[in-house]
Amino acid sequence: MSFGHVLKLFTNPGSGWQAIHANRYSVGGVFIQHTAIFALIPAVAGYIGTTQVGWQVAGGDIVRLTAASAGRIAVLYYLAMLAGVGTVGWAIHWMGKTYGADQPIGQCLALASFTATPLFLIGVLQSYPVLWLNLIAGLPVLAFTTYIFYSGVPIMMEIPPERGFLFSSAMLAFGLVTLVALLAVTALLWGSGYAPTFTS
Amino acid sequence: MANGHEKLETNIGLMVVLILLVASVGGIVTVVPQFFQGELTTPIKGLKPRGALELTGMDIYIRESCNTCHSQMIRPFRAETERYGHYSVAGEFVYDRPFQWGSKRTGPDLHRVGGRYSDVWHRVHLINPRDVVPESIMPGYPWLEENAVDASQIQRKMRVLRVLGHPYSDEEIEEAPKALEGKTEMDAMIAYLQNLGTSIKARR
Amino acid sequence: MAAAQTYNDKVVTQFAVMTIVWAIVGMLVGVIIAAQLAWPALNFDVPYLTYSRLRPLHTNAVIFAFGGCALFASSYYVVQRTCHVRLLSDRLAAFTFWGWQTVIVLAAITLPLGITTTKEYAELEWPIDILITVVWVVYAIVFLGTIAKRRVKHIYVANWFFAAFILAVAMLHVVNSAALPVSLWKSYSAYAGVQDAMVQWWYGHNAVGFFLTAGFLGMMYYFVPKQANRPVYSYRLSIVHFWALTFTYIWAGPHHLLYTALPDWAQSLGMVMSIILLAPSWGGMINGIMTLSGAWEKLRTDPVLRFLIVSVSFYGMSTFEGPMMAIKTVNALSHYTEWTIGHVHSGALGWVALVSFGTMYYLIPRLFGRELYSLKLVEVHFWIATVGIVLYITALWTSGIMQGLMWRAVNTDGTLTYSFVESVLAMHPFYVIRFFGGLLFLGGAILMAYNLWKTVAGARVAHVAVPAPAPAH
Repeated sequence: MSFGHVLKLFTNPGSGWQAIHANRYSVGGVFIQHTAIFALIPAVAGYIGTTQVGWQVAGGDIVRLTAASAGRIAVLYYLAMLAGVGTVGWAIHWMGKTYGADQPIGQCLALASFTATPLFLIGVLQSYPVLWLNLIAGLPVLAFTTYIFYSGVPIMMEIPPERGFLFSSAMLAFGLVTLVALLAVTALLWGSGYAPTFTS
Repeated sequence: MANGHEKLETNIGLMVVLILLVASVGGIVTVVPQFFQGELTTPIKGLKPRGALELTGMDIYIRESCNTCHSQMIRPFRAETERYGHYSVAGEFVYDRPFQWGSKRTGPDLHRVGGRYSDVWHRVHLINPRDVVPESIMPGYPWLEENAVDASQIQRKMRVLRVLGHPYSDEEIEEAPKALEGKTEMDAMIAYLQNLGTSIKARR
Repeated sequence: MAAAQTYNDKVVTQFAVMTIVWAIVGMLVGVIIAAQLAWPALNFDVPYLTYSRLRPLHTNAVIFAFGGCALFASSYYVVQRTCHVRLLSDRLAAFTFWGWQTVIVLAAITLPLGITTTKEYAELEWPIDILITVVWVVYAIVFLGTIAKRRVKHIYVANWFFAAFILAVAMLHVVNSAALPVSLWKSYSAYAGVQDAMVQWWYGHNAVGFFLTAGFLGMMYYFVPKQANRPVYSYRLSIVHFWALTFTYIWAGPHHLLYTALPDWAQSLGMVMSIILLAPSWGGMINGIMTLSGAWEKLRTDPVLRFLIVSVSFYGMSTFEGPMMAIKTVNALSHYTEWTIGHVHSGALGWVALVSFGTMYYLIPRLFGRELYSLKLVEVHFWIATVGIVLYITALWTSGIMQGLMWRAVNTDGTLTYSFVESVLAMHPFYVIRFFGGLLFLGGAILMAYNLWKTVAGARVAHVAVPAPAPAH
């Protein structure tokens, strides 16, 4: 599906983005060939990690989530990732004109979805909920994600690099806002019947 | 709209007045009524202004800024009342100047810590918290045990509080320095802590 | 008569230099207390070094010393240049400088001594409060008086924000500090219990809203268009969001008191107004980002622009996060946790500090008539600061949510899953990460100090003649 492009993106972001750009993904194409597949990784890994493996807080008992609550949360988590990519892709499309970009929404969604790939992939570590491991792996991956985003914007949006930098930074602001919205929605859902239920 | 604003942008006096008016509204509407709401100004049944030793302890709690890590406000949630006791009621705080609700729980809430631990426990804990709770990150306050209480200010303090509305009798103020004789700051702090939240006895 | 023809940049320079000094002092105390949370042995059983006494020193130093000096410097700089006139009075301006530094030094001495009211961001005892009031009244006279004698018809938008900041802070400070003294260094609050909580957070939230927001928006409204060499994106938007901000911010205080003994009606009002506040806050962000977006060709040669763009982005994020956290259900989880601290610092480091750094990089070379010593170092500072912020925020978001969940976790039989101290233990790795994030941020500030020191070494303050105002103003 999109695996070839993902590989190219990681080894050489410049030409990786060129290849993705040339492919001219449609909206459906992005979701079916990329997002829907890759977002499964953190969701399933999270389910396994919280129900089968469990975690310890400071050498206490191993705590897990009940299958029911973890299942509900995993589904919502999966949907949230799809929504997140969709929102960011839409925002790229909406903000584009300010920065001299006028790309079809498929290209914008592809930019959002492929950017998220490293994060989706490292999500596999959620199957082993050990704090330091997830952090040591997660933070550099986050940095890499930011880097491929900044390199992807000028290419996918067909604008000069300086414009691209500003567009990326504005999108970063939007991304931060979306993240915060997600935090708030999560807390709201936790208070409305989708709370995790612990078991030992 | 731009034309109306033109007047403001060319007249600093007008702008100053309008800023002050606009910024005052929120305070007038939200703050002022709370000085007149009965249940916010009436002490809860049985609550008395703090005695000399507890008052001294409170001022030490303030001096050490304990509210930086400890809250004194139990919210009406199941998990919270389970952990700390009855949720906090407005009438319990009428003698707290300033209020000590805190805004952070680096350590646990202390509103109903009164009677929960023995005096000895508090003494050991305040000198070095890790002697009773090995995982604690709280600083030690060993100097409380070494410092004798300063009794010179207590009558002044109670008089000032009386002006502010705390019903101390002349006799209480007269006797106050005696209550502090031979006491350490540790004694005062423990007295303050053991008194916290004891106006509501229900333990759940 | 020559004095009337030049700007008073001496006081601007004094404040600008002290901004850098207090940045380092305030952030250093921050790093120390962060370390103490991770490694409590660092309290050393010394009263003056204990976390609980140092934390208010950190908050006062970064808000009022660092932030305050940055605001004094920029407001004095901006008001003169936008009004085409020298400051109202050199003597009074000098008084504000020395008076403010005295306040800061007194804070640095009294707080570790345990002389405190414990009211957040209003810890200083009554004699210092009086000094603050006097300095502030003089500041208002100088600033507003300078506008009154302007040679330009219109009052530029940055000055509206500075004026609102000065006036609101005066009102908030005087009312909240009301107390009856017992002795020279001890007083009791005029308010008690619930009323005190309400007054305190009416003040506390607006210390953020007017000191850290309106004031710095004033900074933004001058230095962003200046640096981008572009006009402000929308004049109409600035009018609307200015008045909406000034009106709405004041109501938001109770969101610090959700689910407490504060009356329900006040809590609900606070929550609703906090959510509404999102709109006027974002007015500022949009104006800033859209103004900057016109300057894309300058980006390669101008690292200062990077500070300004990212600061406005963080401003947008924090002013979105705030209203989200003011929603009662979210607040039920977040209150008292590290998430609140994460939120504070995304605003304080991401918005306030970065816009101040950008402004100081603009101002200080100009004040000394020099070119910046090293643009490369500015870029390094930018990246170190950003990484520091990301580490800081991520650590506290994660740990804060974890804390909230652990505190409310119940087993299937209804008993609490975790003891409190288990949540403390769980925090440790995050306290360590937060410490490193803060250390990086401090490191960046030290780099900045070095860069600016090399820039000014040996220079004299340039005397800038007041230009004749352009026609049709």
